Amino acid sequence: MSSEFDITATYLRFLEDDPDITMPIAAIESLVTLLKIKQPSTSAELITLLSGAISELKTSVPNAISLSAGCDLFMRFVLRNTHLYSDWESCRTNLVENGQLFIQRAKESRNKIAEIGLPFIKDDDIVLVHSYSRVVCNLLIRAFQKHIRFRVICTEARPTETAKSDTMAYLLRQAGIPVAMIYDSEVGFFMHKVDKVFVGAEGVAESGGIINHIGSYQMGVLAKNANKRFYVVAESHKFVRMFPLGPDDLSIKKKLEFSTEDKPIETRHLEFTPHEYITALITDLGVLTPSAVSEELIKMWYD
Amino acid sequence: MSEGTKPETSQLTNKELKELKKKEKAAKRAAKKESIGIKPDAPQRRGGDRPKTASNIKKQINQSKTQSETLKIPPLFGHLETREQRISSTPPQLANIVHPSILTLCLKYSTFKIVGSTHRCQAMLEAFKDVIESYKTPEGTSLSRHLTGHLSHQIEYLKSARPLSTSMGNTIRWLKQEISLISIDETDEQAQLILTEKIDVYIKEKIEYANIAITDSTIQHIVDGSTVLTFGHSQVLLHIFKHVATELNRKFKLVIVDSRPLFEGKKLATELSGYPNISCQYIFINSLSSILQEPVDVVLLGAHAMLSNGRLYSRVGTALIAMSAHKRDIPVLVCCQSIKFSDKVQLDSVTMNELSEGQDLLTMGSKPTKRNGFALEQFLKEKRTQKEEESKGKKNSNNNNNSNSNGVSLTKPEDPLANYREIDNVTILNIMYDLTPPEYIQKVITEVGSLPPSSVPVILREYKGNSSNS
Repeated sequence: MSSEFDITATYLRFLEDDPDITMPIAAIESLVTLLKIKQPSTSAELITLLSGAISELKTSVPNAISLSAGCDLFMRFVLRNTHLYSDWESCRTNLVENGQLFIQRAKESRNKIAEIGLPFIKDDDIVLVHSYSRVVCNLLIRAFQKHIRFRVICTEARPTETAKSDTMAYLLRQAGIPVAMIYDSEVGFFMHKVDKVFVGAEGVAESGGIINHIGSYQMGVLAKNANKRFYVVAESHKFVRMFPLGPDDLSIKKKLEFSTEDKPIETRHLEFTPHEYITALITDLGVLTPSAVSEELIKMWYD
Repeated sequence: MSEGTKPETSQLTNKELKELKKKEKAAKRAAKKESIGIKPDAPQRRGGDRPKTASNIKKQINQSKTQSETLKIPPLFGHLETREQRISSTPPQLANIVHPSILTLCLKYSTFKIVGSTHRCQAMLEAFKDVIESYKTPEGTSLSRHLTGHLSHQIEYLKSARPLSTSMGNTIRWLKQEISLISIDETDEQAQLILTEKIDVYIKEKIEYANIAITDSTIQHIVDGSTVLTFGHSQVLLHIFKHVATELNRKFKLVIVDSRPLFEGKKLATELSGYPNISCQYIFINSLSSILQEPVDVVLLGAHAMLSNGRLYSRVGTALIAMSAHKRDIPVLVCCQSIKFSDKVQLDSVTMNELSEGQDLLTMGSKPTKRNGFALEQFLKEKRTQKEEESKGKKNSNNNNNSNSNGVSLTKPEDPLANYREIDNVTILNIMYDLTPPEYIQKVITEVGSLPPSSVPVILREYKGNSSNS
């Protein structure tokens, strides 16, 4: 067997090959591939192999929050199920099969979310979206296919490179939805025109707050101030067992540098939006209040 | 109709009154007999099912007695049990079957030698181990059936010192279940061994390891150079601070807010005084608003109980601190083991609370109040009243002022309110706990993870499910 299996490369390849795949799923998929290739012979070996790969992934990928959700989920699944089988071979094949089943289900969950989120979009709505999110995009297109007539305001989500914001506008326009693009600093200006706000998430924290592309927090605050509903659309495998109190608690810490000379602006890509600004989370488990997230997480981890 | 029935009702009420008086007299007689030491048949009592009516009447009498005495509590809190009521409502003959270590524990509880929910719970378990070790199953019953009853008596007596804490309640429930699970075939020695072992494991798992787990998830909030504010004393927090200072070698500033009359913060300050990495600042709750002008990064609080509606039930003053911190956008974190989770719902801190001695608030000086045992106090009181009567007898025709000055001379002259019991328009309230609404709490850190206060019922559900499974 190939001894130098590069987990990070596999992960990045999965992401590249399939533009529709999310980071946690890609992580799980690469872990499953690792299991297929390496074929560990004891459970101890399996666990050390997996935890090694996971820590390698987490350190080598700069934006590891949503990835770690997938890794932790898979690890949890492995730890819980290894002792269920009497013989080792069936256990291993079962793990691989289950991992693939999980990936399959996760891919379907986006459609399920679109189904669940449909009633939230009504005729004549003006929907504000932020940055590019596959789930949100999928939901909006599905709503349009169901002949709901609505318009979308799309922010530029400036420093975020990964989520090319015009992708969102481009995809929606191609589907036939009228879209207006605005600068991020114009959110406050247009907030009173908006009926509801939809954002995706990189990760959903235990409090129900979300980790998302920069700009979501201010959007949440403005929406709350204007009494507009602020919905988060996210798959349940993006739920992470972390509880940040503010942006400082995210692993992506960046200090402000003060200087009297001219310096280019340092960019930050992710930020934390506390739960009090979120009206509801539209997930494949149903529509949840922010406080229900920790319930789902505890169920996932302590069942 | 109403006109016709009027005289009848008055007659009825007269009759009722007479009957009531009769009942009261009978009850008083019974109570007297009991207090003298005549036990109404003991085996009935052992069954754990005390005749309800007798105790009820006794309670009524007790209440009327204390009310006729000077009850100096604000009327809003009149429903809370005072120490006198608590002590007089426990049957005195219980003392005969109470284990010596429980007696010691009671004394330590009531004199506040042992304070803090976790500490109390741990001490209780240790005492229960003694009780179980010296227990012998009487003939005709089995251990699993009789021991719970025996323990109940001990607990009944424990309650006379201070009401049970939530953690103690949960622990007792667990222990009783464990006892009931012991098979009848086990010998006493085997069963005792099993139980003491289980108690040891429980202390390890639910308190010691829980502390470690909570520490692990709290340390991220105490970074090098940060300022932490805490209130009073909490076993978990002490563990966290020590861990951060020694294991992680982080330097941080700790603001210890303290309050009268228990001065628990002093305990924390003395425990942490040997740690050069922690620069402690000891303040009183009165100066809270000024200390919050300086940057504080996080507020860490201990808990007495987490209620299922997400409210925090903790030492009185906690709510004030949480609110002040919330107003200044400082995150408030609660560290609490899952044994402190309660399925109760409480909306205010008036309906359920613990009443402590009003006298404690009056003692000046900075030392925690030293309290005499109840018996000693009763004795002193008797002596005092005797003396007063004597002096009254001497100066029969003298006016009230003299007797008042007499009362003052018995106590220290510098306490202006020392004889507050004689002043009609003064009431004193010394309650132990208050309730912090969930809006002020950012997160609750338990050994099973961190969660928002709204998720407390989830933990309760999962935790209960787990315990019934195992």
